[in-house]
Amino acid sequence: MKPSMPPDTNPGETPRDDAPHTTPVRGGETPASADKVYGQTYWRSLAQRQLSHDESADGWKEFQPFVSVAATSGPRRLPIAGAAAHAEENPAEVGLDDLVPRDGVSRRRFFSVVGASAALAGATGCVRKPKETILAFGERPEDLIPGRPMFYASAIARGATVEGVLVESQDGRPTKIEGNPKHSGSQGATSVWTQASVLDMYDPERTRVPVTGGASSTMAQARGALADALTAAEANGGAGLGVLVRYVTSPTMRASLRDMATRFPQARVFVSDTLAPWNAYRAAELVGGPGTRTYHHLEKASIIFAADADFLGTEADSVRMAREWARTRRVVGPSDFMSRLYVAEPHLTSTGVMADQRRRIKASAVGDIMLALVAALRNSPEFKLPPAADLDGLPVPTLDADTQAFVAALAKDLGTQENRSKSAIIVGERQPVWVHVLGLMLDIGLGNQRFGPTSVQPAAAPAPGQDEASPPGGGSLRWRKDGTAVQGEDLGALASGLQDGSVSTLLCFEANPAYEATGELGMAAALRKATVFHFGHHYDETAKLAAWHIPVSHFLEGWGDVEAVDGTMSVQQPLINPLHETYSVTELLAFVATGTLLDGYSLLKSHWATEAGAQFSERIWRQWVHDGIVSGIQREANLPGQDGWADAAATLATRVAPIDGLEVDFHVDPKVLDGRMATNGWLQELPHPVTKLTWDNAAYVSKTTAEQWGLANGQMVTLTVDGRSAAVPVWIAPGQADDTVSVSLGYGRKATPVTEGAGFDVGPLRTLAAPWFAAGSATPAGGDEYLLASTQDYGSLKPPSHMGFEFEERPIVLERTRAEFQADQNFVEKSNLMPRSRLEHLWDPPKLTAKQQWGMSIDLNTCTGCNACVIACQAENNIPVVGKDQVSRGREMHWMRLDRYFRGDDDNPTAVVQPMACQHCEAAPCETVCPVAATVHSPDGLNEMTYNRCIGTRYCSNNCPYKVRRFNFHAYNLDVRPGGLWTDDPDGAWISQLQKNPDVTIRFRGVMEKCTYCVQRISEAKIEAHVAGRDLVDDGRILTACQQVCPTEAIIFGDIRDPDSKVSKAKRSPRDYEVLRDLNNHPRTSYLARIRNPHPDLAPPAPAKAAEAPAAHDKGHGQ
Amino acid sequence: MPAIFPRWTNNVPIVVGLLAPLAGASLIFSVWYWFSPKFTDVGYRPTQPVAYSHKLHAGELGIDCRYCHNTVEQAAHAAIPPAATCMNCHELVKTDSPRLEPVRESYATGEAIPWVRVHQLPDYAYFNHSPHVAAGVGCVSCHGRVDQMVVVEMDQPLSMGWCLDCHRDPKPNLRPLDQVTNMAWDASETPYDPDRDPNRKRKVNPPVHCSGCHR
Repeated sequence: MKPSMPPDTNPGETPRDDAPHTTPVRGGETPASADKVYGQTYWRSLAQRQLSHDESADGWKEFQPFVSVAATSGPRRLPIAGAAAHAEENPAEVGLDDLVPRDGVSRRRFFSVVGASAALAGATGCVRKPKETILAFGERPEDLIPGRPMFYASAIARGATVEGVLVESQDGRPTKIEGNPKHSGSQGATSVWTQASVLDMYDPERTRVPVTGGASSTMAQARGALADALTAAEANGGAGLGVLVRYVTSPTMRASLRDMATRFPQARVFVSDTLAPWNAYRAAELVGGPGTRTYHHLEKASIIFAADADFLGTEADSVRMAREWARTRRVVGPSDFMSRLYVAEPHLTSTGVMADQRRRIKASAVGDIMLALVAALRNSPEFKLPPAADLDGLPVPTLDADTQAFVAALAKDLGTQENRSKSAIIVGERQPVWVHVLGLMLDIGLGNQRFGPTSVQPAAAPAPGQDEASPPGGGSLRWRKDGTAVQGEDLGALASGLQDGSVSTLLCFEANPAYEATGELGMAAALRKATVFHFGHHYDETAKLAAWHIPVSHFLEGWGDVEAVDGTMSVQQPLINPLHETYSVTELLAFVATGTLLDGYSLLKSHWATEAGAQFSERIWRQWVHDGIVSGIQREANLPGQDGWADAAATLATRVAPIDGLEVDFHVDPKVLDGRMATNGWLQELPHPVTKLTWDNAAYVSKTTAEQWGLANGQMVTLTVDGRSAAVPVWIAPGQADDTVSVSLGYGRKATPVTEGAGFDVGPLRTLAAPWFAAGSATPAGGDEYLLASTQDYGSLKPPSHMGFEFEERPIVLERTRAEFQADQNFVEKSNLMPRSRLEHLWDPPKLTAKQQWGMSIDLNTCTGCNACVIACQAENNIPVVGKDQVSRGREMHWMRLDRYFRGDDDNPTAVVQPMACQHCEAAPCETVCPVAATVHSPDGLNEMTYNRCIGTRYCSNNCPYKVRRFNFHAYNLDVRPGGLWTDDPDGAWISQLQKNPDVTIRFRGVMEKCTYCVQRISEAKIEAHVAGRDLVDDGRILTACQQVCPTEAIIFGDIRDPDSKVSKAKRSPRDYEVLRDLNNHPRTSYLARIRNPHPDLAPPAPAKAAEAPAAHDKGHGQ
Repeated sequence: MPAIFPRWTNNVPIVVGLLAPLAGASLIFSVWYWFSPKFTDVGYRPTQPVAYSHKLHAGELGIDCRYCHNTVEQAAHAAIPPAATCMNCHELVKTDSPRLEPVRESYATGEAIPWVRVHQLPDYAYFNHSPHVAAGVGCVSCHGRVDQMVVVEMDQPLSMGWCLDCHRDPKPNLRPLDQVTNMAWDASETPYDPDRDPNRKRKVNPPVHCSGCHR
């Protein structure tokens, strides 16, 4: 229950007197709201903000979410005989000719379809259901119970990131991926990409047979051709042979590459991986020699500075980092410990959204912040540099006043005794090596290094992967020597090798150089000069240039092994035989190295038998495969030396001054990464964590910059860098630094129908020398407006003021600074419009008789908006992909959406992310309006949606205040491809079906659907308890899909009737609030208000400061 | 002017008035009767690829249901047994019977025997055997006297109303937990009150809300 009202408050008013941060929001006419307690104006998009401030608008004016001209032009008219003549005679009369069919489907077509299905229904109504056969095993595998899922441990690698996973297998079909709680890289959660990767295996567009010269071939022929090429290469010692791999985390593949060096002594190895943190590794290698790796642990960090590092989003090991960071943000009482996150970045990322103190700044100026930080700290007694690192003669950058204040506050925080060895300086992969060197120096100077010369704990290092015991004083920076790391050449060397003919045969394993290579290399042309064998999943850009494209197995189809950055080793096991006749990369690389094609299992096992020597046994091997972790054998601890500080410090001379003029920033996309996930429909349709764009990338610019260019959302701009240009649509992104434009990699791919028309390729603008940001220019490209489908304005919880009602702002997202929380623990109650005592029901709410009552608590303080829950929900609940066109009409089907609210300045707002799914109201507004009782309440408090009763009136969706219901406008599940409704590829549909969760109904056209709190998981747990003779399900037994995947453990689900359950405890927090409580719905999902922890020296970005701004804003955005 | 309609048409409204309710009633009756699972489903007896007789195995030989349908206590499905289960006996018994040829072949090759599904619920209904068995609902309550069927057929309509009848008042269909697979157990011979059974750990409380069966 909420804290009760102060007794002297008049129940008719919100309590106001003791609110320290009162804010007038919409000045002028509503003086009463001048001292409202909730008092925030949140907005989702600039367009919405402008409208809600539009005082000149009289009466009802519909707010149009951003839709381009293309989408709204020319509805077709219904041709009716005689109507035209009639209309000619009576122009004023609305004639039949004005009946405009919606969505371009003619009425005749509609009736023909309906008529046909009615006839079909009539014909089949009286006969029995179709005959179905049950195919029993000849001999049932041990432990397998048909219809019961099994979980198998495996692991997935992306760049240098490894996540241990447990894969759910439904009768032999892998359907869902969960995190492996034993693995340090996932800790029971997964990233959004790992969630989505299961769909890749069932991608109907995966190549199924080898392709040569544009024609399909057979695997036998492909193997023959490969063997011939290898024999030829072997004859001359491998001269002319090149092997291109991704960042290799697999010990077995590394061994194969070493074997290959024996067989082909002159062969060259190239590595192409946009996702591996090369700059961080280069800096570490300067200090500690080849193979040196650094990474951070954040569990004990109290001050974190992310220097252009999206460590909660796209950077390496994001799941582990987010989980550890979240543990420092779990505030229950006002005096609880809470870390402080500083972020300096050009483009608002998930990390920036979570920042306590954010500075939007050019990426090229981030290095200067580091320099200024070193300058501010170096004389502090708490700052102890490594001996050989000489900082004299460092340039002293000039910073603007705001940045100076930011640096001063940060330096003050870092330099205190109490934060000594409890901070973390995380430098983003986008920053050049010299900035990383500065980052290492700062970390070491501040005592954050756990082992090594100036470490806080100079004890011997534990074995890799076993250093989980927390040291007494934090120590966020870890060093490790990856002795077997592949030392490959980069794509620049490959391009010149191809050009000058020194690489005449290229074996390309999973990499896609034709797309990924930076623009100046001319990789596509270079690749044509060599004989390329491309091993990959799709007939992609490189495959089209290759002599042979040979399909490979998905990681769920083959054996493999991977090693995480902290040394945790995992065995990957297949969940299914290859769907198509393919081999895994591990097998193929071993084939290249040895000339014999062994199956992955023998390959792996023999490698590990050699590796572990006498410690290897069948038992221990089975244990590894079962657990997903290699354990129980002695492995050498491997710490690098730190002799190279002088070399490292020398890189500081390579400092480049910040870019003057326009800076073009390239980002790894938070959805499709560097393009390797672009063929995944789930990820394409996923709204971007901040801009909420689907199916596209865009040129993100600040409003100021866009106004300078004179461009609006969707208009094309030509970006030119280094003489090469690309046209990209503009998207005004609040939080973007002025004079910068951010574009995501990974779009504009030409691989499969899914990538067709999805975004724009900006890879050609990059150069190897400046792959992440560069000076460039922008010119309006003219032409038509481009349709960008953003979901940011869909499902607004806020009645727009121009509808004629003057609603007070209601607490939708609630946030306070830590100081405010400490001053007033009762802020939640004060933010509500009415005390609970004044809320009354019109009808009696349903009786809730069950012994357990389900509820959910979502912590806004830790939700980073990473989207993993959205995809987990999609995978678990068979949610279809609808395509860009349907999304642009507001018909996306995600049961869970992440609302992102801005507050404050148009260009430099703060942001809050709020996961929003069905709230399972106890007095649900949807239930009272359903004419067929298709949505009703269960005795355990679920708002049930019964598809087979639903007739599709959509009244429920209209009446839902949270806008969380989704309607199947088409039979989306019939076709997974975008824009391709009603196209039929029976084979494709068949393959995609295999991913579906058999425990959840697949919904058909015309029914409503929404979050069910994963009722299938609830039922399963209840049945399990009942069979065991227990009435109650244990707390923690039921994990909803979104809860299970959440990297920050922001979602808690359980029995709210049990006072000791985790969810009940969470709901007792003073931060707990219900969204739109004044509607008296009694939602079962409640939220924990966000607490920001800004530095007291810097003016808090929020309530207090907003006080001066609003009046000016209101007028300022009138038109 | 002559009348347009002859005189007899005066009776039309009366006849229509009398017939229309009859027609309506017969329409309702025909839908209610011929469209109901009681008519469409009960007695459905497809021909199976192997002429397996439950009457012989479960009835005369007295093999317990769970010898073959051994997942019924743990899973949603009372799975059709693998051919290997048949071969437990038939490696010694009737080893050369031509009727068992598909079974031997399945056991040897691993190819499945395409058994025809008899009890088939709609896809949106999620039935789970295990809680029903745990609650002490006899197999016979839903499947009838399988031990007397040479070819298995549907005995009960398995319609939603039929399910709910029992979910609303389960007591008459509950039996001692050790009698679940006993086809011949008769409540009238041995009166049974589940509330007084010391072997039961919880009171049976079947769901009657939608998400109990539909998800």
